[in-house]
Amino acid sequence: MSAIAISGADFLREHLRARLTLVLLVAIPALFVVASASVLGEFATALGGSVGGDSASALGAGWAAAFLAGALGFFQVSSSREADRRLALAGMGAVRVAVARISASVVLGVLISAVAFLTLLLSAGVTHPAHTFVAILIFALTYIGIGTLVGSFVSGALEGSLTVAFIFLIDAFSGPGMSDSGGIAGVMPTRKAADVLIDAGAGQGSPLGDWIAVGLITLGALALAAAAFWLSARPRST
Amino acid sequence: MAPTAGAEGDSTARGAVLRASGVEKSFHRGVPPRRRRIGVLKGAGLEVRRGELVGLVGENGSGKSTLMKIVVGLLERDAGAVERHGKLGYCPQTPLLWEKLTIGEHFELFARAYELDPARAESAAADLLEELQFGRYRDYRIEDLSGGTRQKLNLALALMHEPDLLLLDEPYSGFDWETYLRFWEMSERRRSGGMGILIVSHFLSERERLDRIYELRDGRCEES
Amino acid sequence: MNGRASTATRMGFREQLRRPLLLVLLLALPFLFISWSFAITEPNPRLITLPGGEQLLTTMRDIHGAIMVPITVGFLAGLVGLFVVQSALESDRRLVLAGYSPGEAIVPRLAVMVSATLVVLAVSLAVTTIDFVPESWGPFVAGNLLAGLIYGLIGALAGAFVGRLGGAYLMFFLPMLDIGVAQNPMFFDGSPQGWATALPGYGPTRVLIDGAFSQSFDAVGPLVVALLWLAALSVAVTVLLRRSLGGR
Repeated sequence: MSAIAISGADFLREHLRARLTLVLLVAIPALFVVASASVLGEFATALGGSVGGDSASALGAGWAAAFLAGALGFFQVSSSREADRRLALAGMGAVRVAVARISASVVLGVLISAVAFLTLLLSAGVTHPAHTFVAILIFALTYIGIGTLVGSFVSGALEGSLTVAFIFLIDAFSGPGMSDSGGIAGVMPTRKAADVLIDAGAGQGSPLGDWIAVGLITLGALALAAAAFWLSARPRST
Repeated sequence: MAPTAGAEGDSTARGAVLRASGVEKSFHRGVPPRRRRIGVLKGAGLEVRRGELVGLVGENGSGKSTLMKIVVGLLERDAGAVERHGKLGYCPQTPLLWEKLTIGEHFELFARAYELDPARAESAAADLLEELQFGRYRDYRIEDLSGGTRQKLNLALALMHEPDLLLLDEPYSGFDWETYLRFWEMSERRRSGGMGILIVSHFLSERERLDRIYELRDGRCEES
Repeated sequence: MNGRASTATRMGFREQLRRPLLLVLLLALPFLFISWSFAITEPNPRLITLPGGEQLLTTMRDIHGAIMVPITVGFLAGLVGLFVVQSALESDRRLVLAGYSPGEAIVPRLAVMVSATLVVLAVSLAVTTIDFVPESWGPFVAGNLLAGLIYGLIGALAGAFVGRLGGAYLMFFLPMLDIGVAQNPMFFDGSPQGWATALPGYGPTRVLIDGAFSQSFDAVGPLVVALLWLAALSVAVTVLLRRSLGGR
């Protein structure tokens, strides 16, 4: 486990210590939250939906966390492919490698969500902190799953980023509150998470059904991510 | 590439194609107020003459690649002098190739860089493909090649223009035994032809093949 | 172009053309987003202020569709610029050591970025015409082209300073926030607020909005601003890449 912890830490070091990344990690969610607060309501109306001020800020924080988590998930798989395979062959086995990678991903998801949540707290204020944080975390974890899945099929950094962006934009613009919620919105992964986040922003609770749904979706996303890590680490037959 | 500094007459009279002296280099780590300097090279110096095979050894982290990069021109030195004479061939530790281009296309790009006319470029490429026995991969993209074949290309690109000074940074990683032996034959052949060769490695088991060995320790080179 | 630069340019294009997924994404993304933004936006009335001060009543749908073009071109060009330059900085240094001048190594990379921008722009414009015809094509195309080139160069700069993750994050959100929010006539009072004029998207967006909704050209000031941004960024990118590739 310590070998994975070390390589996981290396990964974090590689991506987060790169110049200015930490600054951007804080600045972009902050800017996005502020921007969402001012315009998201109007934008939603233009798309036939409706979302109020605090919910709009909360959604902004969720989306900022989501895209970052998706990109992070993608880069994690695409850059660790060789190392994971070697670790698995060295005796750790693909399953344990995948488990360790997923654990690292969850930690990263928590970090990203914390940053987005704090910027929301400081710039717009939050009525139900725990509810809001969990809702943002669900966005992040779902997108880590998506990003990881993209990474197992796509290898180029540019192609991967564009694919994550593509999925993100369709998801964000078809989400609840944003549009008339026709067709495609129903199958989008963060649909329920957005419902929960909008409720959190509005200071309301969410029905148990919604929580169960997001729980299942999040677990599903993480399971997919674990499968992606396993696929990338498993030995090839010679 | 042109010489970088210093007394050309003196060095060439003794046949030196590379002379580094008093090279210092530090790196900064951390952010203020906890920023600190780590001195890697503290007055390192070495010399490579025509027709010599010189080794540079040292433990991991001793600064071998740093010194190599300074000599090549990839890193600025804090102090000291580096003189190079004649054409330089550099084979870096990591191949630094273009994944989507083929071996043949790499030769084409570097032939342009070295200003080789097409006929000479083609014969150089053909000879190197034959010498290192990877001709059948000529039309393969780098992304489809094994590490050992990439390293062969890495080496071949450094040799295309028959440099006067060849700098090799851990050149045989990924080589099988046969290729490893062939590498030494190539090196000795070129040494006999007057090329000065500096090989950097963290481990040199072929000391008897080398004319001289420098050991990089505590930021300085000691000839052993 | 001399032999080295033309060879490197040829290789640079070959590299990109051998990435089918990238080509698909560069064609599909603009097609989907722009046609989709027209499809999902309500035709609610909206009063906007054009460059030159004239006020115009149009619809949210038309504005959204029109503004989606520079947003798409901007973030795609930005991401292309970012990653093309990043991978170039790794491998092209070796070409420079072998004898290329930094300029001969940089120009091909920028050529790839400009070409990608043009491809995305062409697809975006083609898709837009299905639902919306700008009042004057000239300024509309020029504004979008400037948005793409400016953001492509910003991406190239980011590629030299920021890591892959931070760079992807930046080049995705910056055009969104700049063109998609600050410059977007769908929001605020229909024209950019004071602070928005300092952003790189200001000039190109005002030019293209003028082209989209007005038959006369009244965006000379913003055009000059955009050209100044373009010139300054071109110089910055050239200087920076020369230094990074120059070695010595």
